[in-house]
Amino acid sequence: MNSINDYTDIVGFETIEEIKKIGSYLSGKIIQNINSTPVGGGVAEILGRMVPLMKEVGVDARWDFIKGGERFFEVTKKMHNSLHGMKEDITEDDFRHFLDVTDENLREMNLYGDIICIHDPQPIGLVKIKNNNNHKDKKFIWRCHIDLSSANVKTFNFLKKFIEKYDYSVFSSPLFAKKLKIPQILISPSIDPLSDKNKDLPQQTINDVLEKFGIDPEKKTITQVSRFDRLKDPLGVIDVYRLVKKHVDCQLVLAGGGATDDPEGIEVFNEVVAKAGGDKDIHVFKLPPASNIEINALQRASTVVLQKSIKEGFGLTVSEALWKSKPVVASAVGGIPLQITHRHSGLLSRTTEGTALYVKQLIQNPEYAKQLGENGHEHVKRNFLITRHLRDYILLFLKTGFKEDTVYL
Amino acid sequence: MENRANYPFKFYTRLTLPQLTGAYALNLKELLGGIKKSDDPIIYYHTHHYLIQHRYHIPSSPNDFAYWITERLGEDLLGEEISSLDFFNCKTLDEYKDEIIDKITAFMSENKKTKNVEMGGRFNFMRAITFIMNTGKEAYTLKEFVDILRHITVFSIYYHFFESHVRLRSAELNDFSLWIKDEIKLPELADKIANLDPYTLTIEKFKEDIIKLTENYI
Repeated sequence: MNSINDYTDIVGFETIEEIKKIGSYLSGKIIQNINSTPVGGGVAEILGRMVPLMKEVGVDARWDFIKGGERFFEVTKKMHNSLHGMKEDITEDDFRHFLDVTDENLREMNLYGDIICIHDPQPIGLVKIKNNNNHKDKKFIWRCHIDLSSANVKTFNFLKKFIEKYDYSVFSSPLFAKKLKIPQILISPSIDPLSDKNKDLPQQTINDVLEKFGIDPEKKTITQVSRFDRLKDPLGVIDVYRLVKKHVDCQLVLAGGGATDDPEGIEVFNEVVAKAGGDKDIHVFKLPPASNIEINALQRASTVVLQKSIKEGFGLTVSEALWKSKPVVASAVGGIPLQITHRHSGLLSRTTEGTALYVKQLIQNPEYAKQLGENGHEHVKRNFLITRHLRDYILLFLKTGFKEDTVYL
Repeated sequence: MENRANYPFKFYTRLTLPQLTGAYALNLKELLGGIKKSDDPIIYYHTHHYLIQHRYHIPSSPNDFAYWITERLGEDLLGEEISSLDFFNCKTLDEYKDEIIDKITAFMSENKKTKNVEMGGRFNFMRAITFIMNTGKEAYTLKEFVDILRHITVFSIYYHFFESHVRLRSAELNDFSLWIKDEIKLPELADKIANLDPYTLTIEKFKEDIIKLTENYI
């Protein structure tokens, strides 16, 4: 595990010093983070890094998760899809089951934090305890990591009853904000530049990974790293590859892990394998959670990185690729336009054909691709690294103790 | 002999958290309406946050209103007019806001039709929660001052140049120039720093320029 001081070479001593100083103002407060899964998916990944760093800068941060059986996670997956605007049949019985599991968790969990930060919809109902006398002085924050801009009204209204009980809500993009009675804070997520997924790798490690997966190191490579999820449009990525392949010889890598709260993944993976249809230049990998070095190497070995999402929370894989100075073509959805300024730090696309056009442009114009990648790296360095994210969370926790919009520490 | 101040320069820093207001615009008319309703913190946010966000390159439109008008509505002329408004010519944020309103109103009065954007391209009105903190660093001489400047974040530079002088309009000059003029007795250097145009530099380049100017007087 990296120490906060290890980031000095990347962001500068003065930035680390500043974070430690603001962290010291939270002395004596316990920050309790709660989400639904310890492994898999962007939220668990961020908390796994963030909580130890918070502790190191003097913030007593803890991390707990709710429990939920297979049925609960099927319901929350449907809710997740529905919040992204997909049609899902969520029955009254489903909602009732969600509430029952929430009550079970409330009975079993100890909400001991002074500031309780709940991540995403699965544990959202825990805020019910705020009405309890023992919890009235606690501050509750709902951290929404998903794109609510096309949320199904029925599902959102079900959640809104809980959201408006919180003291603060936090969104990853201005586009995800809704009309709410509580303050809405904007905190972009981040990547960890020193994690196995993002740190520099020796060329030999990259070569070894390519050999292990049977990828031709000499051939132009288009890569999408994402969970096997319909919202990431892996089938559309194959369409893009086939359009590009007509004109430029290339190979496609589709690689992703699975989260424990995502039962749909296997189904989508099988559809992708079927659509690949035995094409030897399409490499589809379902990677276990500990495959960070492999993902890092696959991104670094890519000629172009794609993120062809139909809907996206923030799309951290874009920042991961940009950090590696890779040219990225990504859909202009969710938080992706915050990471890519079109034609400056990457290319934003809206259609399969447009995506294919941009991929061809980048493969055939390496200098242009290099410039976009370098600009993207600089943008990520200043705006989407874990140190900025850590600072924003500490500021938000501090804000819960002040009413004014200008806080003098 | 180097001048020594009676009162040290105390370095503060300013950090912010963006807050969403929930208000947004899909066309020029709604943007104008939103600007009219916006208070100082909203106007300030949309005309200054880019200085911190884009620290390595100068964006083509140096404020959010101009950027949105140009990039989303495709109105290059109006975008350029709003981009080029000189903030330092205005005594208050209200005056600056009025100039933006006047430009948009004049443009609309010529009956020019502008487009509506989709929800994904909307203009989101935002403000910032500001945190101000003493860094604990102090300088009594110009040398000490520049040594600290080299090792503080751009957020501190931002605070001392913009907070009292620009955002709050409670001081005639930026903090650096005031201290250098009153305590170090170097009005020429104070003026040179005051005359730097932070809106056409990146904040990192701006910091470098202040350091270079100051080094010439040590």
